[in-house]
Amino acid sequence: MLSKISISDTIDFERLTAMLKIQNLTATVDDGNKTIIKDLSLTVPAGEVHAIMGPNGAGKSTLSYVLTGRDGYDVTDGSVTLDGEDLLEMEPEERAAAGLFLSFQYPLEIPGVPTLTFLRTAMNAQRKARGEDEVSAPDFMKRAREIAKSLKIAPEMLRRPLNVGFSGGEKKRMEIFQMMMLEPSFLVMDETDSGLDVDALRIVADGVNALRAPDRGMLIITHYQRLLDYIVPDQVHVLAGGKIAASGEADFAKTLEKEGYDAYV
Amino acid sequence: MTLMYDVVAHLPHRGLEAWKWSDLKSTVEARKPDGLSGPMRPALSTLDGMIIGETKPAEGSDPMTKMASILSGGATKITVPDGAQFDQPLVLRDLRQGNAQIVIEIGKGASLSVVEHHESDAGFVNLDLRYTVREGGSLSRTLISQDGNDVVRYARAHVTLWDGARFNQTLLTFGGAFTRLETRLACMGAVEVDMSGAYLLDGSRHADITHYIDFAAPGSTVRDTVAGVVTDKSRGVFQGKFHVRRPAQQTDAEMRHDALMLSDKAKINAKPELEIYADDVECAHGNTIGQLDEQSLFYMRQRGIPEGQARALLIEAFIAARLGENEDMLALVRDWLESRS
Repeated sequence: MLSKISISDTIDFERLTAMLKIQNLTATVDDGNKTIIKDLSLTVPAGEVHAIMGPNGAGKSTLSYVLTGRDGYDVTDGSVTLDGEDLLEMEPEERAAAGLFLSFQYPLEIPGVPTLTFLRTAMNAQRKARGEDEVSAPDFMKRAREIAKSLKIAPEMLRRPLNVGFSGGEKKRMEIFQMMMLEPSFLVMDETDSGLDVDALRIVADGVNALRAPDRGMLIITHYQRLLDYIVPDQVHVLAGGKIAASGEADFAKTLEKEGYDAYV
Repeated sequence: MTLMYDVVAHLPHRGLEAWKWSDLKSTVEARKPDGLSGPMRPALSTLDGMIIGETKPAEGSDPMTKMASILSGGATKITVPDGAQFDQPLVLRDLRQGNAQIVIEIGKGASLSVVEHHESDAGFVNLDLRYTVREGGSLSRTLISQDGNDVVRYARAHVTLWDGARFNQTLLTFGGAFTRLETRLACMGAVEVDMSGAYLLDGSRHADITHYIDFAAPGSTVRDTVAGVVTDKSRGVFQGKFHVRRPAQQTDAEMRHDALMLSDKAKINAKPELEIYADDVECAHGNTIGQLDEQSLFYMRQRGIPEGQARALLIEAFIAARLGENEDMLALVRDWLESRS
C-alpha cells in the first residue's frame, strides 16, 4: 500500500496509521436510557477500506450517526478523531467540511430543491468553511455531467428535486454521485447495497472503487457479504453487542456469511 | 370624537364566526391606530386606454363596507373597455392609512394585470376593492403586503366573474399588528380561477387570509392554494369556503392550506369549508400543519450545509412549491429568511 504513495516530505505518517481513530467509544440513544455502542475502539488508516458487519440491532447504523453527529445520539465516553481533529466537538456540517461523508441507508427526499442546487450549495458551504473559493458554475456543471454519465444517471434527474420520486436504487446511486462530486476524505457507507440489483450494485461499486486513494479512508457498513465481492476491504470487523467483537482480512467476510454472527452475540 | 366612538363600536369582533380568530375591534381598541375615520387616497398608475373617474360608493350591509363608503369620501372607478390589452400592469400604491373604495371594471374580452402594494409604517387601513371581469375577460392580481409592526390592515376584494372569465391571484403577506386579506369571488358563469397565496410571520404578527368563493353557474374550475410559515409568537389564519349553489353543476374546485409551525408559541387557525347544493361536482379541500423535517435537516447538514441555511432552503422550497415560480415574490421570501438567520 505504501508503494502507491509518492514519497515527499509532506507525508503525514500519523495519518497513514490512523486517519479515523475511535477510542473506547460509548454512546446512548433515547435520552441516555439505552446504551448502543459500548467501549468501541477502531482505527482506519488512510488508504484503507474497512468493513463493519454484524447482526441487526448491533449498533451499525448508530455508529454511523454518532460519527456524523446526529441529534439524539449522545456520546458518554471515549473519543473520535479524524486526521487528529476531535470530531465529537464539531457540528454535523463542520464534520462534513472536515471531509466526513455518510452515504445514508435511507437517503432523504428534499422536495423543491433541485439536485444540482442542493449539491452546489453543499459544495460551496464546505469550501467556505475550509476558507476556499466557491466552485465556478461551468466547472461544477462539467464535473456533474461527467460523473453522472459514469454512474448512468440521466441529466434530467439532476434537475429534479433531490431524491423526490426516485426509486431506492436511484437514491443510492445519487448518494454515490454526491460523494464523487464532494470528494470527501473519509467515507462511511451505511448499507449501500440494500435496494440495489446486481447491475446497479456494479455501477455503485465502480464509483466507490474509483474513489479509493492513498489519502482517503472508507468504512463500509453492511449486513451482507455481497457488497464486499465488489468493494474488497482491507479489514473486516464484526460489530456485536456494541463493540468490535472480531476482526480479520477480506476472506473473513465469507466465513461470517457462512457461519453467521451467533458466535459473537 | 363621536364618530370615532361609533366606528370602533361597529368593528367586527371575535364574537362573530367569520372573525373569531381575527378580532379587529379589540386590536383597534388596544392600539388606537391613526386613520380610522379618514379617507385614503391611493396612487394609481394609469394606463393609456383606461377610463378613470368617480362613482357612487358601493352599498353593503356589513360594517366594513359601510365604513368604506361613508368615510372614503367617494369611490374611484377604473373602466377597462371591451377587448383592451396592456403591456404594463396597473399598479396600486400608497395604501397607507384610512378608508378607500376602488371599483375596477374589466370589459368583455379585455385583459388586465393589477399589482397592489399594501405597505405602510403605521395606522389603520380599510380598503374595499370591487373587481368585475366581464365575459371572456381576464384579471391577474398580484398582492404584496409588507407592513410595519403597528399597521392594522383590512383589505377586501369582491371579484365578480362573468362567463368565460379568468382570474389569477398571487398573494404574499408578512402580516402586521393585524392583517386580513379577504377575497370574495362570485362565479356567475363558467370561469377559471387560480389563486395562490403565502404568509410568513414572525414576532407577534398576525395575518388572516380569508377566501369565499360563491359558485352560481355551471362549469367553473377553481384552484386555491395557501401556504404559511409562522414563528416566534405570530399567528396565521386561513379561512376558505366553497359555496356551490344548486345550478353550479360540474364545478371542479380544490382548496389547500399547508403551514409550517416553527415555534411552540406560534399559532395557526385554519378552517376549510364546503357548502354544496349541486350534486354533480368535484370539490376537495386539504389542510396540513407541520414542522420542518428534522431528518431532512440532518441530511443537509451532513452534506455540509449549515443549519440556518438548511432551514431557509427547506422553507423557501416549501413556499415556492405552493406560490409558483414568481421570482419577485421569492426574492422577498429569501430576504425575509435572511433577515431572520
